[in-house]
Amino acid sequence: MSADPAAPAESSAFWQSVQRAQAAIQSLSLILGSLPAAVASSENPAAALLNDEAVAREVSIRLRRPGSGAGDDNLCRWLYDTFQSNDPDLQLVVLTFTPTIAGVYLSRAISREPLAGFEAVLLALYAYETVIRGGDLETVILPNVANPSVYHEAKAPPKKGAVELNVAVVSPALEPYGTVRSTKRARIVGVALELYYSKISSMPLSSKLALCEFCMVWAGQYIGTKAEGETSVSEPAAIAPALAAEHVEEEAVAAAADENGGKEEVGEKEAASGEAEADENGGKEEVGEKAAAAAENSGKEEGEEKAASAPADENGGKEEGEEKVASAPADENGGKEEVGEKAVAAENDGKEEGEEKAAAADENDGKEDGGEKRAAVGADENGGKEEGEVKAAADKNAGKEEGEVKAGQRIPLPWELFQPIVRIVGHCLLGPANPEELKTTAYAVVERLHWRATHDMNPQEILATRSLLRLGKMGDDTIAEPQISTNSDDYSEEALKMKARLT
Amino acid sequence: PPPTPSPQSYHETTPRDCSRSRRDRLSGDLPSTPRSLDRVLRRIPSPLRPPSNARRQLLPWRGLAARSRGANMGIGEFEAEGDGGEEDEMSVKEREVSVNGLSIKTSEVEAKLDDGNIQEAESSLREGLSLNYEETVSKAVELLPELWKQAGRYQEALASYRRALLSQWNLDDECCARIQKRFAIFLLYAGVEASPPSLASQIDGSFVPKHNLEEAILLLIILLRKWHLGKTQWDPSVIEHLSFALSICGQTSVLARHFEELIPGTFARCDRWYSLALCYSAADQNHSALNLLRKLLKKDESPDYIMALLLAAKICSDDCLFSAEGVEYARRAIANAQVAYEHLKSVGLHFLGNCLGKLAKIASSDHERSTLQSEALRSLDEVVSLERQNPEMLFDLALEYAEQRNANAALRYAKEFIDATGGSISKGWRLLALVLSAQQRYSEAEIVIDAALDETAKWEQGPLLRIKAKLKVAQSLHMDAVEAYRLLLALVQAQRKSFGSFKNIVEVEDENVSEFEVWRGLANLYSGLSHWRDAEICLEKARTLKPYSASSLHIEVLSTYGMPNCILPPHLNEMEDYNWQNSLLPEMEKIATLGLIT
Repeated sequence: MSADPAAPAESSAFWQSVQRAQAAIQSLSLILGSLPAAVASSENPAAALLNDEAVAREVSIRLRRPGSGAGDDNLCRWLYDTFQSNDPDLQLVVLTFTPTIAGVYLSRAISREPLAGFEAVLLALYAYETVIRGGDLETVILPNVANPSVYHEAKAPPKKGAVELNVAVVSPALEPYGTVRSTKRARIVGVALELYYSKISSMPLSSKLALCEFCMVWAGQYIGTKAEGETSVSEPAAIAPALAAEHVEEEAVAAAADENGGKEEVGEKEAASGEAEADENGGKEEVGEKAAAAAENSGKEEGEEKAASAPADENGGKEEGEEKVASAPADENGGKEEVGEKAVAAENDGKEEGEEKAAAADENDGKEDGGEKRAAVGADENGGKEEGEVKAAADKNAGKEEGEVKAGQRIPLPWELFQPIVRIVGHCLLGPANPEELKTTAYAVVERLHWRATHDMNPQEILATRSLLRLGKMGDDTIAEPQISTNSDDYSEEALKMKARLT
Repeated sequence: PPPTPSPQSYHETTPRDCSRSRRDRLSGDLPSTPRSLDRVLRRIPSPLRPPSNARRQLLPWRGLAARSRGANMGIGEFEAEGDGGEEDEMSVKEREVSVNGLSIKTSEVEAKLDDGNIQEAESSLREGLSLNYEETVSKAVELLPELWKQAGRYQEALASYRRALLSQWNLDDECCARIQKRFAIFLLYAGVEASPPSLASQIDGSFVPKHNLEEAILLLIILLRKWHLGKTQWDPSVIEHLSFALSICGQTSVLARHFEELIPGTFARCDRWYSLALCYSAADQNHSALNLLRKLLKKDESPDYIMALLLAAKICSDDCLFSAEGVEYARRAIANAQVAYEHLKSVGLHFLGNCLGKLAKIASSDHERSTLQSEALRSLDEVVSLERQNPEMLFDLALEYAEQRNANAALRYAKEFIDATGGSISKGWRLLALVLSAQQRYSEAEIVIDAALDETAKWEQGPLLRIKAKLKVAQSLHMDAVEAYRLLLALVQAQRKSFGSFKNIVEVEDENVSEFEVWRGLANLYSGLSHWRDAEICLEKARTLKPYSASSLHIEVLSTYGMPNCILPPHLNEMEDYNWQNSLLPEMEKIATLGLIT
């Protein structure tokens, strides 16, 4: 972590890193108000920041606030800038908040709120991982025990060339992305979580608990949770305390949402207005540039990019021509967002009453037609009308959201997201030296994920979660850990005997 | 095996000499022994390092500690040469020798020695004090990584695990298996990045793991093998860790092989079949999975195994041929979804709906079809009311309505699906566009496709571009259609080039558009425009990719007859010889249905 002050070159690097950390703390204190003195005056400020619970709590509260994560969110900007400082210790600080960012983002992204702030941070993590891997896929060679390995001998000598190896892909190749397209959202967040997993042994407890909490939300709830407690019979007893705790927290979040209700709406409208959108796009483009710069490191990628860019560019140009989007033609992103939001506007119009289960099906159909047509008209026109529609969509989403935060939004969990989650939860459940609190929570999460896997009837997910579930049930007796303390009494004959047996 | 100690070394009778000679042997006869371990222990950070006395006790070869209980004289060090005074004190009665955390009274040994029974004395010392060098070493070797792990020093833990397993400690099988298992668990769950084992430990031609997961899987497989060979006891956690690791990297077919190899009796037969079925189904070997499930769900096995029933129903819902069977499984699952499994009822209903829908497609009469269809809708509707949060249901319901030509309802659910998933799932966009185009609302369908294109990364735009091209054709916007095909072609060709390398191989999905299909589409388009020459060029391209395709021959026939003064090309004549009706008719039918999409 910290360099040896004796060596001059290292020492200057050390001081530079301390200065960077202090600058980051300075700018964070501007956002959060005052920071604990222990952090600001620490000899190793980055480590102090990483492990300070008060700061972590404050940051995660802010990240969860309604309306957070927009393009003008200072905290997201701080996270982005801090990560881009390329200081490993500071990057760890940012990674601490990956679960909260991913959690809030994925739950809200479905309702299409403006979340450019979160997206910028997630894209930065994704781009970082892309550069580290050189865009390559991650593979694992499955051993064939018929051939000898470092850990065992085989009777038959290895035959050259005849060795049959199974290559498994753990994580597919990474393409550089400058924006979060909705079909790539799960992949981008999944890669950010893979990065988080690779540093998980440095992560504080609160961060892991946050991930567990969001996993519960993502997996969805048992049927009938809205009404009777009858169905809770199906819930294994062990899950109950954790669930209760989670509900309390959800309630708290919801309460906060209610308090800030008014504010939030204002925020939404601001975000929907042109200025905020430009700002967002600016942020995204910045990320895009960096990602592109990163991509230049590997020649392969560049080649592919070129290959792909031919159809892409033409596609972009064509779209503009067709749709006559008035806003800056160079800003492909702007065009995209407008189209997207138009679609939302149209769909929401049609759906409005369907959601409240008030309208009869036929009526609803009629409405949809109307909505659809309006979207078609909207696409051919431009200007003020669009803005109105976008605003309407944003307002609707704002209203929708309050309910959703409370209920907990079940999200699609494709394998690219499920896999890193289940690996992280596996660490929380079975990793070395995890506190009991984390293990209990992780077990409840595994149960919920298993429930989700059986409801989706996804065999691969069922197998992974079922194994964790069984291992969690087997408990500690499979993993013996000697109790070591510095107390010399423990080195009495009896104690040593016990430890030495260690069965 | 350790060299048996020569009796001569025990010619003197005090415990002190005993310890001495042991030390000498250790340093002399067994060169590969604990020097490195000792060094490692010395490097333990201070809070962990036991007080000096305790450390000596931990390492028995460093010194035997004897305590005179009666006089309470404290610990005398036998290896300390100069403290003869204390030794005198030791010769008080009731002396005790302790080592290795064990102590015995010396009187018994001394009595034997007095009788001249040197060998007996030795064996009683060995037994009483666990003076078994190997046992001590293996305990220390086993303990060390656990200590590092507890201290949070994961890199050191990793190194000492490797040292324990890669050096020649002569560990017994159980001890080695315990270390291997703990190491595998550590690699799997600690989240510590490990560099591969050092080159020094590599033997020529042997497999060297290069990745945490790889190393863990190797160790777990070795553990299973040891158990198969009868070297170790059965440990149920090993197969669970292995199945976690292998399902994480998607190698469930390999996992299936390990389940198959398990000796009968380790798992209940039904559980094993179910696990195997899960593995095969995850590996896309649905037929094997279904066969196992059929066996499992027989009357005399476990006909009410609800998870197996659901999996079977799901597999059957993919294929018209099995849909009747699937209906049966789903009904049984629903009937069994009582109390504890009530939450699975909706899953059963879901697959029941899907199977009924599939069954309706192959119904022999209109009446039967409409009955099945309404039944399918009823069960899907029920799931939606039970599980409103599940977007997958909305999609299936939309699809079912689309199958039944109820475009309005299909439209509604397709939109709800897009809303519920935030547009993150491509098939939702495609379904919406197809439903709109079925209503001949082409321009709206195009808007949907354009929005979907914006939400899709370049590499995955193929299926969307294909729909776009067909939409243009349907609107008789031929030049736009040509343009759309051109884009699609550029994409497909770029994909083909980069897929040549291994890099992107996983991204190839079933739904990707083939280049042949694009050329054929273009040829079709040109022949529709009576641009025979262009159609001919496109067909030529298509033919290089797939020489004997019914559809391209079909277009070719059209264009041939369309062209003035043209003689039927020779290969069309040759077709007669191929008995082509038999081999190609099914493909013709497929084309016909494909044509219906727009």
